[in-house]
Amino acid sequence: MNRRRLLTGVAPLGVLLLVLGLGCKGGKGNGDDVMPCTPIAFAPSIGSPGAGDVYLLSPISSCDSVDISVLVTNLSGIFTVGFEINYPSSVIEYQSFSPGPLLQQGSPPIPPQFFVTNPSPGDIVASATLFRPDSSVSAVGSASLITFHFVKVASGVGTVDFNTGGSINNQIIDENGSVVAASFGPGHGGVVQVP
Amino acid sequence: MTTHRRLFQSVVGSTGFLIGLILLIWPSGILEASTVVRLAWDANLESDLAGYRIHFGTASRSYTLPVIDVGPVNGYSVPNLAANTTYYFVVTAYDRAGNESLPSNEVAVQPTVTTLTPTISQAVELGTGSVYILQSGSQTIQVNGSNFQSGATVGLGADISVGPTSLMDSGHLTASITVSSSALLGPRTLSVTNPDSGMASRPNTLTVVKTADINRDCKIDLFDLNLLARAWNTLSSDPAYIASADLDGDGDVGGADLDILVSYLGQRLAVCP
Repeated sequence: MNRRRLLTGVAPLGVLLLVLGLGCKGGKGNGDDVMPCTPIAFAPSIGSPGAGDVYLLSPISSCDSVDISVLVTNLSGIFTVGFEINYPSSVIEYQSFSPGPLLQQGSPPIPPQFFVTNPSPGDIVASATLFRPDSSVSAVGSASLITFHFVKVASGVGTVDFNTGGSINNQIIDENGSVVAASFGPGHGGVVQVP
Repeated sequence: MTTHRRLFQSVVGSTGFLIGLILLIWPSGILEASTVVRLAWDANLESDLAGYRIHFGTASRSYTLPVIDVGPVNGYSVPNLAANTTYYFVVTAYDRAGNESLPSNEVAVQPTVTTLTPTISQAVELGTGSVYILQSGSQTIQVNGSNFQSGATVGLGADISVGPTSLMDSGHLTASITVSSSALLGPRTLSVTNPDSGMASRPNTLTVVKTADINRDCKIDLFDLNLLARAWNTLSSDPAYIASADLDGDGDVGGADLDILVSYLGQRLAVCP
């Protein structure tokens, strides 16, 4: 008796699932379709970076995430780097970072170390350094130092840029302890637009 | 915090009803000299019962303290007793006609004030969350544990002065510390002493290291990281060795020193080294 009652209860549910399934299918009817969406856009502020410029660029984005890289253009004497970035935490959230190829040129025997903290929403503090006996590296053209991975929080628009008044100075220092003539802006960030 | 001691005995009162006297004791407070004793007894089932009286004193069978008429209840808390004094209690029942039973069994108790021993589970430098405290530094530490009391004192050794503590709750306290420039490098035993003399200590709780402000500009920043990186993997015998970058003072500049510096990176020092 119990089994029969269960079966009669399942049948209408099956019909319901079938109806819902048909409703989700697209034109091809193979079930692999995805809903169209608009990717997150990042519009860099800098037009054509000059020698020594450190700036932000987005190499890739999707509807739900955006990568923002820190690039350095035509600069030598890069040994220790530090900067702070502000981002609109109401629209994107910091997830992680990936070291770029700039400090890893020539596969130094002692791998460069990256130190990234997200002390509060909207704030990233990053530093990186090579180690003796490795020498400073040079950016020829534009080379990526590091890439930050963000995910969507909500629709909106906001600025991502270097923070000049942060806990750590935006600087590049060479292997002799001298500050290298790098420019972090103003105007080296960009605007992120989350649809 | 609360100690309970339970004693139960029964006697037959002169009026024939059964009185069982139960004693529940606990200190009313850690720092208070007075205590509360909770008495309980079996109910008398006679129809003309009017109430109960508690007789007590500080000598057996000599109940010289004022009698407490508690009415028709089966328990009562006797307040304001002195700690470390033995009290003797009996209970009697009385009826509406004023007849009073013989006393119950006598129970004796000596309330004691319990000293709760603090424990230390961890301590950190509050600004960095690390276990490193810097020579020549004025920093704030947080100690985690249990049974801390307001007014507790913290010790870290003769060359580290510790200010008054601030009690966040019984498991957390903070204190400002000043580490002398000549403080011995290495791990320290941290002690906490409560006002009631309860004390705890824990070795290797915090570690004194050289100031992470390697270039002594009152900031721990990229220049300090750069100096350490330039002295990387050097021994004290190497020309490139930078003694001030050897933060743990172990004779080489390496990963432990980098860990210390990174934990302080971006900090501005309250006191310049």
